[in-house]
Amino acid sequence: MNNNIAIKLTNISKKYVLRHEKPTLVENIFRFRKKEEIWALKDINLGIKKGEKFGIVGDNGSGKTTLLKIISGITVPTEGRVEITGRVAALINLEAGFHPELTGEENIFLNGMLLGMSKKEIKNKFKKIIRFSGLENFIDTPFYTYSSGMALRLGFSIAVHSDPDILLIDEILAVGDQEFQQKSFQKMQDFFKKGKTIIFISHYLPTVVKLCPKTAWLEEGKLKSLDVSKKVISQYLKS
Amino acid sequence: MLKKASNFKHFWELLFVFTQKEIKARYKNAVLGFLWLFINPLLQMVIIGFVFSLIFRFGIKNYYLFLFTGLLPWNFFSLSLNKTTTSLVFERNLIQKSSLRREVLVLSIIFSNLFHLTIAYALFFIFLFFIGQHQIFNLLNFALFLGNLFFLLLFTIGTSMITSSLNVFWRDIAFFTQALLLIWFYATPVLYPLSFIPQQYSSFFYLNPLSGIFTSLQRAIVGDGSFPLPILFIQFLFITLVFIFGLCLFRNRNKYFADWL
Repeated sequence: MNNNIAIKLTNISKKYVLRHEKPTLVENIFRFRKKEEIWALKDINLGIKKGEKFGIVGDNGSGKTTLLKIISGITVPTEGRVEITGRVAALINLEAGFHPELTGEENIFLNGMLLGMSKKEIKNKFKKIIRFSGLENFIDTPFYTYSSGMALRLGFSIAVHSDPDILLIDEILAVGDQEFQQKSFQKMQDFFKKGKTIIFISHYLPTVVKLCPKTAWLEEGKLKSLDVSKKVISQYLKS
Repeated sequence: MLKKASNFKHFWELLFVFTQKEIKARYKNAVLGFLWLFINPLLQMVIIGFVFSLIFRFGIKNYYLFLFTGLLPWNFFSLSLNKTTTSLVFERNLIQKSSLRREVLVLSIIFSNLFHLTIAYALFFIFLFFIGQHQIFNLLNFALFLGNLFFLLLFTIGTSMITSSLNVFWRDIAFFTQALLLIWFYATPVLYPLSFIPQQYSSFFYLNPLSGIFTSLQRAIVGDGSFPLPILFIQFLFITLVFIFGLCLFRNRNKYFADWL
């Protein structure tokens, strides 16, 4: 694999089986139900270079999130090959790793490790994470006392401090209040400047054009177009 | 190579933090906090001791000690298996949103229960020391105790890996497990010693991979019971196979967890 490539997807397809009820063993033995299958992704080929900022656009249900899940290793493709170099952090759901009964501090460790940081790394960045989140006064209270805005701020702060090589962003630039939004937008721009590989999924098309030189357009699981962002977006808008 | 080593380290660090979470979350916001770690087993010891030494009297000397010896590891096994079986479904949020090693979710429950078992046994041994039952403080017996506990741990991990991963695909596995545990409890020498079983049925009990462990634990701690060594080794071998099979099955199914939850 070329050293300059951060993400390489070869002929990726992902099939989902649609289930209307909870799957059970008993049902499996006694009844055969016809399976409904859906191809969430079909024959996707993508190569993303190190340091590249890459946009993905498409309607709801076009397979964008499935693609992110495959790149971040949450699920595997039904067919095809995935090659990734470097640590991936997905800003998909910032609160998934939090436990309500534990304090903010304890949750920083929990969530930070889920993002691939070592304990030592977290200890070193501990103060920074708290300061960026702006939750100094609440950090030793249990997480269930946090408002949803506070939870997102902490999650965002941990994620951006995890220092990933590849950052997957799924539409979360608007976190918290005005001040925090500005701070996080600043941080994002730092990321974009720093030469990190970034995949950016968004419905804010002007932002995509501004931040990402290249964009892919997904439609019904297929790669409809891949080109310079301006071109792709104008095609997408016409459709 | 370096990456592999750091992945391995990260796995254990993560497991440690998750186990800590399991233990802490249970006692957080309780007034007595970590004291409950000791109060629960002590209370159980007092109640069992009272009920079975004053009210019920079987033909066994110090029946409550005997009972306690088996009840502790049984609780460990059944609580672990019950909780791990549904653990992946409960943590579906984490599984769908993060690429963590999913083994951690199952193992952290088992290790937190192991932590509780260790405390309970330690209290039990202190009690045994004070009442003059010094059986377990013999090096050989203690080795027997540790060895059997180790295989109990392997078996718990193996079966938990199997039931938890299958429960993702068939949600009724949890009900089967619960029913099975109920039967298993009476089929395992916890309430009674294996020596109470008539000779002609004993081969049936040898099929239960836990019978050797429980009899050996009772032998090491209260000094009753004997178990044929060759069969114990066959059971250990079987347990090791279950352990390996469980890990392989889990790893194999792991890829599809996110799609089924």
